[in-house]
Amino acid sequence: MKEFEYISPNSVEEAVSILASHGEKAKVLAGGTDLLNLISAGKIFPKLIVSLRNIQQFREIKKQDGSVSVGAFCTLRDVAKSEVIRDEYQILHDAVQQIGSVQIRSRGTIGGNICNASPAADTAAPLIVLGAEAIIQGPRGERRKPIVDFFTEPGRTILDPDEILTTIRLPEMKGKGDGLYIKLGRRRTIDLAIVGVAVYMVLRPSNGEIDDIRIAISSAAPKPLRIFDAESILKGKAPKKSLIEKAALMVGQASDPITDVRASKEYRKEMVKVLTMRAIEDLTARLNNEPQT
Amino acid sequence: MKRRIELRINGEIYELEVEPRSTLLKVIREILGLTGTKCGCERGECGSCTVLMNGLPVNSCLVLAVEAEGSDILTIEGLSKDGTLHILQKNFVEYGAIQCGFCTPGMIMTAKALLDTNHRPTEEEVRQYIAGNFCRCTGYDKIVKSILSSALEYK
Repeated sequence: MKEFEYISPNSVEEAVSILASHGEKAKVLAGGTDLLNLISAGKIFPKLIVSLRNIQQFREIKKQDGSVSVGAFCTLRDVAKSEVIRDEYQILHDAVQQIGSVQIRSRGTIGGNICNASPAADTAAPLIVLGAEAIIQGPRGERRKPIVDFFTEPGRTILDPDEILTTIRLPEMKGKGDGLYIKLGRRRTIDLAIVGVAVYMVLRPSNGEIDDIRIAISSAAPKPLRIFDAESILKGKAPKKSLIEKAALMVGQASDPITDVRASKEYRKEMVKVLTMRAIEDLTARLNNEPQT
Repeated sequence: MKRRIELRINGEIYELEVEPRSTLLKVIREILGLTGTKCGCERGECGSCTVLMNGLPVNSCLVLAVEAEGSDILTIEGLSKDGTLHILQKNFVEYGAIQCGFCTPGMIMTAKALLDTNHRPTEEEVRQYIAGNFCRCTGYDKIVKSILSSALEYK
């Protein structure tokens, strides 16, 4: 790695002020599992690393007034071990277990997964369907952004160079809904998603119609996407196979994947459709207490 | 510019001068001469550099040495006590879970972290937990068997 200077401030305010005076030449270090790879590979050349290691805050998962705040500096292991996430936001619990390995999850943070902004980030699609919000601190104070609007292009977000993501807020999920994240990969572990599909659904108890549905895809476009038009043909309707197929086709059409070492764009587009179908069907079965495929 | 740091490794305190860009792996192997921990991919994908940091398995190739200050680091050298092998080391040998031996230190450190927190893992839980440690020789079967058998004899 090329040389860099290193500083570990004691507060986010201090960190923000350091970032403000260095601009693009400084990079934030959380768990390091993405950043150090980028530096080793010569993809970025920071002159200064601003480590978060001495900042005590934003390392907890807290419930307040129904919503849950996940500190951005929580490791993926912290998120995986959280009972409130497992009980109330199971899709996120399931997604983090599929990231990397035990070793990666001991250090990598949920904030880092989002801010590294790989289009394949496994927490992205689940957080989008949960309606999560990013809370950001900068020199001008705090601002908020829905996670769905957080990503701009591969590796980039709406963060200014002097801003730090501090919290991911999960809204209260009303009604008895459930979510499913399917990560298509070549292995069960240490793999980037070939495609990722997340679905969150609520069924009407009276007649089993879809009360609410959210669909998001990752690793299938320059950034994770929520597919609103596929959602709207399903809302208020019975989850019949022909309708689910129609929606899945729309999701596939909305995707914009690339061909790379892991898969071709044609395969990815097809698998977005297949996995959307599978996710909606499995969720429907789960919500109706039926056996799944 | 080099910084003076203090690292606690296998119960010993080391005072070192390191560059911020030096990884924990590099410091362990090249400055402290603890070459049991191996350097494989340097990308956090193979697990051969696995050490325990405050009891948790980490890829030391992705931890800057300066970030490890204040933590308790355990390497494979710290596992045996006064020449007596740890039960995992003993069982890896007895079960033939070691062929070339390159993955072994990282594999054992990961297994130790598992057994320290889960005293009776199922085979599936073992396979999931060691999934970040690659072995090109053994096909994992004997590795998994020696970990499961070590669990029975743990503590």
